[in-house]
Amino acid sequence: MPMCSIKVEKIGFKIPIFIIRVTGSLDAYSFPEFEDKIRGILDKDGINLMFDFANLEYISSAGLGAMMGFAKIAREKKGDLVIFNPTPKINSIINILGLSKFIKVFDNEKTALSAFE
Amino acid sequence: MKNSFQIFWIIITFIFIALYILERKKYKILNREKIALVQEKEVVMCFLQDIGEAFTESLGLDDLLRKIIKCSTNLVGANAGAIFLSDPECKYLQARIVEGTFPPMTENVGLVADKVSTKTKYLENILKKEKVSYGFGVIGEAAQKAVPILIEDGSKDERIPKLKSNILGVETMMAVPVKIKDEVIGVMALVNKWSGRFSSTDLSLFSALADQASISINNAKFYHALAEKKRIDHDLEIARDIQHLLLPEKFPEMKGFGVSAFSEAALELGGDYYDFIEVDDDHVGIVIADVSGKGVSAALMMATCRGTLNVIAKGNRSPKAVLCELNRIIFGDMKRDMFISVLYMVLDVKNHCLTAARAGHEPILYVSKKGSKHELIKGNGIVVGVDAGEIFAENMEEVVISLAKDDIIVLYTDGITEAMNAQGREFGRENLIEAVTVSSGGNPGDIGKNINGRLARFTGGVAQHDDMTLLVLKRY
Repeated sequence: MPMCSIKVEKIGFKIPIFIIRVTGSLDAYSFPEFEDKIRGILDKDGINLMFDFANLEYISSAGLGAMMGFAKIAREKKGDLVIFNPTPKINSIINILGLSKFIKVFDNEKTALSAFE
Repeated sequence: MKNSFQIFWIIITFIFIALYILERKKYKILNREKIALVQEKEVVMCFLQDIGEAFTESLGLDDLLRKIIKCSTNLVGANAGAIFLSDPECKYLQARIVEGTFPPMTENVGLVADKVSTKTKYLENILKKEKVSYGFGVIGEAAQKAVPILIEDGSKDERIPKLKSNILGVETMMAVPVKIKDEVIGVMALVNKWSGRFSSTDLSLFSALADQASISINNAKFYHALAEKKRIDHDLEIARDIQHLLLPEKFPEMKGFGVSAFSEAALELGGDYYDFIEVDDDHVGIVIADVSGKGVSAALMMATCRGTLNVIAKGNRSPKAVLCELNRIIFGDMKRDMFISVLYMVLDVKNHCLTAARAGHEPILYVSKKGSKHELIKGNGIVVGVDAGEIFAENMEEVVISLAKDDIIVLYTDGITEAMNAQGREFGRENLIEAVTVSSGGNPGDIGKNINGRLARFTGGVAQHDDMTLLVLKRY
């Protein structure tokens, strides 16, 4: 069963930004733990999140729903959430669902960072 | 010489007498221990019989615990007893069952209790509300260290709360942990003896009873969980039957058109559905939708979406207007991490014309010219439930398709294209397109069967993680 792991890096001093690198598969099995971790960051640590999806092979609709939920929480707290480096397949899913109108998707880390400048 | 011989024999006789007395004493002690063990065995057997009866009478955990503590107080000869159970995180314990006048275990509560010391029921309620932290007092220590504790003289022990009332005084006390596979799930405690004080023999007996009780508690919990699972399974079965009723029983009559469809949930309840709505005499609404997530929450949202759409679609020939209205109505009822992808089309049966709008759903597969041409029709659109209205409406596009004879329209959810085989490969759109084009000469039922057959061969019986829904429409 493909699992999911996440690595969190904190950058920036004045405005802390959290880069969350997701590896594996975000499905019904791995999703609850992922949701808990991200909610924990949003509750305690910071409101500016950058998701690195370069090594994310699969994301379920519930996973994308959760991303929408995180984006709404981040924006309510005057922060933001962006995605960078998604695989062509995940990028296509985000576009088909029309979610790119709500979550900015960037090709790489550098351009994604510019969203917080 | 004769004298020394006599003295020697006298000494030998004394030694033998002394040895005999010692052996006799040893025998008496061993015999007492043997009797105590036999008695303990009898008591434990008696206890097991009582608990066994409790099991056949009722499987309720509280009933069982009550029987356990009642038997324990009687068999050990205690004035009062209580069973404390741990919270799931093992931070504190709370009295679940109290037998007799059991004093509070913390002094704070004790101050209140002093005033009502004689009202056993009131005292029981106070004790049940009291939270005893792990490591605190006798009960907390027995849980944290997982060892039995014997307090022969309560007046000299600092762990006993000092209460003003004499009736609530602890003269002597025992507390033993209740363990399931080395995990402490609670503590059983007895307070004050009918006569005298608790001894190490009493503690040994009480510990043996607690060991037997833990097995019974574990069994009761297991049966309880099993019964609960059966109840939930039964509820889910009913819910599944209701959900099946929400799918069309038969397809509508559409002159010059044929249709086939199927929907299969990955779990007991699904978030996918398809439906046909009579818009007016010449127009039929056709919908396919997929709620994010699965299970009960998705099924409830699916039912809401279907009910709302059925009401607003009547008499409205614009799929865009219908979807905008649907989104406006149900947006407020949806959790912020949930959405629904919906594809809604209005078929003009008379003029063979289809108008479609796609709220973030998979593109329409349009196969024409007897299977020689195919196209994925992707009008712009956003899933229902992520925007209150303005952005949703701005980004919604309506697409019009004029259907010639033998043209085929296939609607599907991502569970079809993302169906996986044992190697982790997805069925994909290409396989779906091929399945449709090769069987395009047949009727919609044949096309649906061909897609289904190819899907089954591809997945090879591997359990799927997503609901699968497919709808085929063909103009004759």
